[in-house]
Amino acid sequence: MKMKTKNGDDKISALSDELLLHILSFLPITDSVATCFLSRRWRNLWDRLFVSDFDFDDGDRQIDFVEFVNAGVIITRRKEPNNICKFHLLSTSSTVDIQSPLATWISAALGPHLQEISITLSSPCFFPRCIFRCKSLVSLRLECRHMHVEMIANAYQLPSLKKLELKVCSASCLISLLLCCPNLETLKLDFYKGHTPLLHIGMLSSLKSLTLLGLGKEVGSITINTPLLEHLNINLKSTKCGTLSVTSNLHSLVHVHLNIVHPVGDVVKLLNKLYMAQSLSLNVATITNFHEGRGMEFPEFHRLVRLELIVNYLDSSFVMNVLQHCCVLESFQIHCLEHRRKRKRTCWTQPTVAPSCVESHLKTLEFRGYCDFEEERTFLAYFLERGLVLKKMKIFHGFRNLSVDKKHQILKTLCTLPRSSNICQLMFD
Amino acid sequence: MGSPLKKIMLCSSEKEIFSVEEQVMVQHSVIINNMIEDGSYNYEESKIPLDCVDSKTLKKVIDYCTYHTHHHNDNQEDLEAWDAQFLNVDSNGLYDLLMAANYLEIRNLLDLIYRTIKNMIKGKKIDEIRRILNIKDHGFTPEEEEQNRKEYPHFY
Repeated sequence: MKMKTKNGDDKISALSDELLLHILSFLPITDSVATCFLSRRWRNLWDRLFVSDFDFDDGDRQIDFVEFVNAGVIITRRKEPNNICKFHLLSTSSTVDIQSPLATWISAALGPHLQEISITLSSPCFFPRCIFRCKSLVSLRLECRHMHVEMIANAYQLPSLKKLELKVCSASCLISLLLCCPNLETLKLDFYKGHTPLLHIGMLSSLKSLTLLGLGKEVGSITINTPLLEHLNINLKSTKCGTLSVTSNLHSLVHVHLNIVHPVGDVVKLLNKLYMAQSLSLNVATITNFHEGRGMEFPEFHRLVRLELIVNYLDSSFVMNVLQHCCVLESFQIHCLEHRRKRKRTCWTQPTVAPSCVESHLKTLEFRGYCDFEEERTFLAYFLERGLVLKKMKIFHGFRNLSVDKKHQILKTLCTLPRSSNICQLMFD
Repeated sequence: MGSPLKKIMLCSSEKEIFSVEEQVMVQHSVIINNMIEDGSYNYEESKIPLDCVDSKTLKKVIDYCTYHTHHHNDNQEDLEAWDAQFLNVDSNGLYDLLMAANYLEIRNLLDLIYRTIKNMIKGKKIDEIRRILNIKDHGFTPEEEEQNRKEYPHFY
């Protein structure tokens, strides 16, 4: 317990190595690097420090870019082998030259412990090849306006990689990249402003979660062949999209989120492959497309518990038709987007056969963008009257301005509607 | 958990005796909690000797534990303000507290001190940190020191 102070009054430096290393481990890399110049004692400590995060974020103005470059250099000069677990780099400045120091930093960080790499750059960059040969890497995230990866057949190996996130990439390099990740579980691709002529996401037998984002001008054809997929999120708003198809059966599917503008034939084919989903969210473009292809049969979703529809306006016969195909649905959310005056008006027709879920399973119904049209009111009345197990109905109005009086009046009308379920709560806001 | 009225005795390195509510120490110090739980503390006779903690430091530690026992429902901001005021001591005082908290295993006080020392170093230049930590003899040869200053001037 007794500590002799070597440097007179400098008691902190006399703390045990373990305590000081513990304190150093809280510091960002550029600060902990600095401690090696404090004194001989701290230099020795620094050499033993387990540097777990190699972190640079120029959003935090306190860290100077030069300091970070130097940190990389100092780390490479350490006698001890490196044990860095994470490498984070975020540079939003397009004026600094990242290219030359990047290779130095990465080689400083590479080692048997490196598990996570995350690089966000605003300047174009060639990513060093060594990244794609790191056997311990579990998570890799690269974001760059113009990403270049030199591809050499069979040169890459990422056997531990579970999570891959890329923003902007040329498709050819992507396919070869995916081939060297045999254990990938999560894949997120953001096509950003680039365009991908053709993409086949297949042979990824371990993949559980797939996210495809694209707001660019053009997205090529995409084929998905991933039998164990659990989460699928496709958000392609590009005006020019190629075909989108799923070629394997997705038996493990849980969550699906679709926001696409593809031709209705494709959408039907796609939905037919997603019939095992337990939670489904469909956005405007998808539904409008579906909608216009009348006569097309909505597939049977026999496991679906949660459904969210985002539409321009309520078309009750379409919605009732969808509900007919979801026999165990417990939660239903509909969100009408268009402004009151712009809305197309359709009429309510009493369904000849009531959707079975309404009477037996539906517990919550949420209606957003309610504008008190007759069709909307009759639609809600139908659920209140038929919903035997309904617990909650939440209604959010879509008026720009709604006076207290008018609000009160709407609520009053809604409250007088007959209800079958005596535990049903009604909420209007 | 002992009854709130029971008192225990703590004895500093100067053999000064402090009487504290048992619950206050039990809640914060792992060591004292263990002593009470395994029955090795005798309420009639024992006092817990803390040979490496001087009276001034022990008083501060007891203050910390007492305050945090009675104010644990206060909002976070108030507690943080109190903590900041509490740790407004020089680096040697901080060292004494750290040693005491480490010995008594008072986890939240330890974390607080670690964070304080971290902030003494974070974002500062070498010369400034040396002054704060009271490092008078850095142990480098004049040549080494000069070379470091030349090679990495922005650290100084």
